[in-house]
Amino acid sequence: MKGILKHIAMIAMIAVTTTSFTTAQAESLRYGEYGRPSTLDPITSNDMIALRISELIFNGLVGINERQVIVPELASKWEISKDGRSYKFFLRKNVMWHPKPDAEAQPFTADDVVFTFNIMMHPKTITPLKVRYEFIDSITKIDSHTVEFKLKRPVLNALAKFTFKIIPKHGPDNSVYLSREDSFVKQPIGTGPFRIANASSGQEFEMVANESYFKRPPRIKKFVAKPFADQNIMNQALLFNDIDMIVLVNPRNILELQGDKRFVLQPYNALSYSFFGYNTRNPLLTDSRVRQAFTYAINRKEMLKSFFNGQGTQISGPFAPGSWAYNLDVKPLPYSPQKAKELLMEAGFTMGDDGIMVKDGKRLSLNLNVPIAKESEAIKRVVLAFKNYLKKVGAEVNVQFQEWQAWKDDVFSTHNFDIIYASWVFDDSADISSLFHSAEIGQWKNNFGGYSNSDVDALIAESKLTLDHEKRRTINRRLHAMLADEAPYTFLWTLTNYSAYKKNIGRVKIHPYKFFSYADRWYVKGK
Amino acid sequence: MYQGKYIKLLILAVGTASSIANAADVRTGTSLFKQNLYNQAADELTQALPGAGSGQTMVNLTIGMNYQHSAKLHAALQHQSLIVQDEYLRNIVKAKGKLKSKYAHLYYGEVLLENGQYKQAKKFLQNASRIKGVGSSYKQLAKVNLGLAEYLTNNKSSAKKIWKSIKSNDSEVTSELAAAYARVGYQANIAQSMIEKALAEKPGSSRVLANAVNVYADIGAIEKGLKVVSMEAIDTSAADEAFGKNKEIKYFDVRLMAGMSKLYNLAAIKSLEKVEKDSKLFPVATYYLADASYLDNDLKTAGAYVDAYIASGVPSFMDKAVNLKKLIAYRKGDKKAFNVSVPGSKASSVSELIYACARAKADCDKPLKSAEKMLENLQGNSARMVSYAVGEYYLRHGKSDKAVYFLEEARDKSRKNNIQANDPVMLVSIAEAYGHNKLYSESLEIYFEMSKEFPVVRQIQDATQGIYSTEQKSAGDVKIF
Amino acid sequence: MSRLSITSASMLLTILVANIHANEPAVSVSDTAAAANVNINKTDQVAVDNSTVTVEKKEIPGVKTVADSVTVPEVVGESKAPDATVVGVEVDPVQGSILAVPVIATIQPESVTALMPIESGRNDSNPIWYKDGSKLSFERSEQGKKEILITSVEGELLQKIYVQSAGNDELAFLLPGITDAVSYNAGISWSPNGSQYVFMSNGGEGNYDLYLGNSENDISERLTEYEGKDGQAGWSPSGDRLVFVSGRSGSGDLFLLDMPSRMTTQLTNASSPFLYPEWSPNGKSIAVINGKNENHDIYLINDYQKPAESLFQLTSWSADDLRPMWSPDGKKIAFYTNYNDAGDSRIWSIVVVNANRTTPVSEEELKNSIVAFDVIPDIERGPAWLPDSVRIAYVKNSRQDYNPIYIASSITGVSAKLLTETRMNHDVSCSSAGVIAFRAQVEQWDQIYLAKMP
Repeated sequence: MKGILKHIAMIAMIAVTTTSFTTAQAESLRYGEYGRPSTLDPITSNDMIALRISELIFNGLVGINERQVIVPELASKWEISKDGRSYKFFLRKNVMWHPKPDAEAQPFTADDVVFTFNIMMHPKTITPLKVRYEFIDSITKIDSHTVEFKLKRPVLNALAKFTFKIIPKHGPDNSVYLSREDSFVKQPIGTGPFRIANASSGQEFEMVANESYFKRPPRIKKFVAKPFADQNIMNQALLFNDIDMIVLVNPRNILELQGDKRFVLQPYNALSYSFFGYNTRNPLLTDSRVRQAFTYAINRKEMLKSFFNGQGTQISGPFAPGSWAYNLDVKPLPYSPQKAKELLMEAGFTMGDDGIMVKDGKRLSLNLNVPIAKESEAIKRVVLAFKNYLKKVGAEVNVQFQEWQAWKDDVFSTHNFDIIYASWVFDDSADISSLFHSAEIGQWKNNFGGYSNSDVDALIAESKLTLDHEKRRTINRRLHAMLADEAPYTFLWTLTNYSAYKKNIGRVKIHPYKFFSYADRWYVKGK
Repeated sequence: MYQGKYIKLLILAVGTASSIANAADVRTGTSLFKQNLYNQAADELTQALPGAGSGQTMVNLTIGMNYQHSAKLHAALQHQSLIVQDEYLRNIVKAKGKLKSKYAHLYYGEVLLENGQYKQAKKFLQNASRIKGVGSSYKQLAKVNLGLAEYLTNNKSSAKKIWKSIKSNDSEVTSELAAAYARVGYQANIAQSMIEKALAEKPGSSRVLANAVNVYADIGAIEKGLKVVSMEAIDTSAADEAFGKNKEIKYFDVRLMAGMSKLYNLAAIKSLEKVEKDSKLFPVATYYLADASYLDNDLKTAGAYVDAYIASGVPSFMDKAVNLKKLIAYRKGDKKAFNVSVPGSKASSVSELIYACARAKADCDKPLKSAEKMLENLQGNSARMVSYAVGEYYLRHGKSDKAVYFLEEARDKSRKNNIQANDPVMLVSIAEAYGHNKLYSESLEIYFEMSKEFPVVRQIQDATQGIYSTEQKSAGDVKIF
Repeated sequence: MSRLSITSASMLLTILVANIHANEPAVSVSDTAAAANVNINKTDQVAVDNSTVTVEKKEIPGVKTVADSVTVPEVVGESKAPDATVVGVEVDPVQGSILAVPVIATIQPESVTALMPIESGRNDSNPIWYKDGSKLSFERSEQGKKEILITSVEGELLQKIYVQSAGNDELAFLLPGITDAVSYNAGISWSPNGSQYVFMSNGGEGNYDLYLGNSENDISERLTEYEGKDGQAGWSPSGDRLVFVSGRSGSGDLFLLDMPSRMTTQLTNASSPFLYPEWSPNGKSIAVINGKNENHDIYLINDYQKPAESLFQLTSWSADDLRPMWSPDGKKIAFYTNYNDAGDSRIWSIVVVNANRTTPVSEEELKNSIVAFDVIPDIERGPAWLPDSVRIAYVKNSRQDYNPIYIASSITGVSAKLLTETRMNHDVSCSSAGVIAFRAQVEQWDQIYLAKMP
């Protein structure tokens, strides 16, 4: 008897010392985010952390799988009219909403789809989504499990746009429009593979598997979103086994993680790019030669190497290099302070006594508005470099770091800025229409710089109307070349995003934009 | 309590010491080779060769190794180009309506021909030779290729008849004819003069240049071929088809990289043979000569060289040589060549076995399983070696999901697309695997970087972009941050 | 309050802020920022002598005051503190009231030099002093690898540390797809006599462990072999032992490694990680953080020989407290916290509390112990104490100034800007000889700089 006990005790000891996994832990995934989301619903939320969580909680009518194929989600099948202007969705039956606390789960019906669309498009709902769905004319409920959308015009790849998340009619307090004060935005319920277990704990967001998910229940039973206030601490938490995954690794921490074979460093490409954007309303910046000069003045390659460990690619135009729209014939302008000065002089500037160029009595002195994101060290380094480079060619840059909302107000509302430093993140980076078309100039629209060029307008309009892929490609190449020349932005680079996670998490496919789209099939490898 | 291990600290070495006259240039060239910058290395080393004095043999060896790696890379790129251009052009050819492509038939026909799908190739080339609304040169090009297809399917007389019927002053057509002649060994003696004339007339045509590379490779005129490769228009499109104002499709000559591979291989062999007199360096050269002969499909010579290497007993390439021997045997018909019960526990022998097996597309499931098991305990370079081999195996056996996983394990993630940090042949495999999984942006990123040293990958980029644009489905969101 | 007749409407007078505390040098005042109206109380001692206005400071331990009855946040009138932390005085000629003007005090270093020749293509970081200030180490990142360099304070290269397992480079050259193995080496800590040191390396093999090196030769010895991470090692100032963090017990616990016997002892056992242990100067205690997510607290192990019994939780509020550093005299601890009234977790401050205590710091005391506001949390090095155990060098999160270095007094809460004229400063660390080492960005690449305090 004693022998057996001793044997058991030894096994227990070995178990404790060899591995840190208990069954409970093996079924959960703790991931670190730098920061916390403000709202959790898919309509009002405006940050990437919330977007990722909504991937776990909600579904759309259709989804897009890893092979770029449209697959049924809340809609089990659909009919598209011949003229491409009517989309009828037949909704899945027997789908239940996550239950509200202390309540029964309600069934998903066509009413929810109608509700979602109407609340999304309501003028009082503050959401970035409205402009995306302007091509939809109306929605009609045909019966309890059928809805029909009528489009204003046929649109290429329209089906892919019906991936927007559906929320329940009985979810929000206010049934007409959704505001950030609504309780639904803090404690949302959806139909997705995970439901929020406790959003009120403040520290972390626990999401448990929805065992009645209409697809197979997820293999990992719990996802815990852990917000960190410091990225170095988050990095150490991963290295010391306190979390299993970091969604976006800080470039400064990549080397240390790469040196540890327990982790997979998985790159994912969000088809985004960084840029300096110019306010063409400012007479100093109206001449494209000035903007081009600024592009010649900076050494983008050097900045990439030093600030971002070389994890990124320099770009020459409005697309990421991984995009099919990128014009491979357009090379980035080389680093040439000499050429920059020449262009400025061509544009009518002369060097002043204080080393700053002057034209018509006005000094080339500009304000650079920068939003203080949490990644402020890298941003500051870029901005400092930009300032120094421009000084060398005779342009004075006054940097203003601003809070996010104040920055957005200045840039998108009052247009009170000269230059900005920011990034665009695209789902479909071939669609730059809202960035450069003159109809997108105005309050809260994306053409913040007031850039207007009728040729560009015409091309964009044509690309939106055509259903021909090669035509779209050609138009995008022309746009790329034009915009590289016109330089409404100084296009900088596309950075590589890295996620880091423990090697024993399997089948980790990452959606380049939404991250968790395929997380219901991730699993933790057993021993 | 465990024992501490004594590990030597390294102060960073700066290249290899050498006792030759222009040691610095040679060092630069060698360093470029080690960084996989084959084009630059070739230039640098070739320039350094005359002044290398007693070190000439070493330089020749390095040049040979450099060209051989480049040949292998271009062979891999050719393979990729055929895959993507096939998919891309297949779709273009299908498109109907007013904006139907006319040129696509020729180019698709050429791809089919290179892929060995002769029946289909002939169909499209026939169409191309009869299409309305295109210039006569286009139709003549189609005819040349039709002739080639006939010749390669043993209808030599009808091939010759077709070729005889071609009357053209267009340099592109004559260059195409020259390339066909040199390829099949028919009237090869006039091929050289034909191509030189075409080159003089139209040095800006990438079709002429591609044909020239192939002709020179076929007749063994290495220096002339290398000159053509360095010409500016080499990576440009062979034809642009415009449809109205805002639609244009680019077409590329799909034989370019095949020709480059052959040419580099010949250049490699030439340089490596010069090492014969040096008994110390020659063993290494024999390994590379074996590999080059294998690439050239000369199994007999490859076998002889590999045996010579193995007999020399030099350890550095032994695992590779042993498995190259198996590969040759397999190709010769010995389907049991890879039946090894215990591949051993050394990472390099396991990885070389699996890698050779992958090249052969043979079945190595048993060794594969033990390799995967080994990986659980391996670290660092050894792990990467084995991962690469396993990933390559899965890729060649059509399992692209697993291929992506293992190939990514072998990749230097901090410089993921950088060819100095990752072998370019491995990157090409990764791009292919991602392409099969429809993650085209990853492939495009790889080629974007690669194009800086190897601009001829342009045709792969263009076709991949084309496929991607039809496949991409997304909701069209854009956020600022 | 006396009325003053001044001729110029907006004359700004510079004043000398009288420093009560003997250790602080007089700071000169320059560079105005914004201005705000504050009424000086009647009972204040304000004296004007020609062009000089002096305001006598009242010193209250633990409470920062600059001019009488004026505290920095009040000057601005809102919860945001200004960039400046010393208040100057401006006289309003019309009303005769005295306006408190936030001005930035500055300190001119005796010298500012780059430790090594400035080069591009590599980034240097994390300078760590040997205790007598005669030599220091830093880390160099280049092409994906990280090595440790040891130099004398004059910048002479003494040693390069880069551990690589033997016999790999031949293979790397010859096989396809494989490149030179990169090794990551960081986090050095010297033995008390400086002849040996411990550091973390993955040896080019993907596994972080502790290694022992010495200044005489290039041989290093691997000390630990756990398959996860062993790192953040600190050599005790008083003897032959190391404290380090290891993941072997779950998620980050402190372990002691006795050097003569090479035996390890586990000091802590918790479900959340202990990180960044620091020995007290007398080698008896260890300061460390523990926690999860956005909430870490400062803990002390008052007696390393009795770790469980002497484990003491110093802070317990819900803000994030990070990277405690002992003052050189061992009496105080400085750390970062993101507590602030606005609840903005991105704004960090430095707090200084007494180390020798039996009760945890109350929230009230913590709020009053903030000595610097809106700082960059420098997790590699922590708040950098100066040898006087009063002042702390840190990086200010200045909106306009690209991360300048400031010196704060832990007694008065007054900060002054150190005029290094360098930008994007980080990894600040001060030697016992009063030389501040840090990294700064020069033409896009990070270099190590030394600034000698006056």
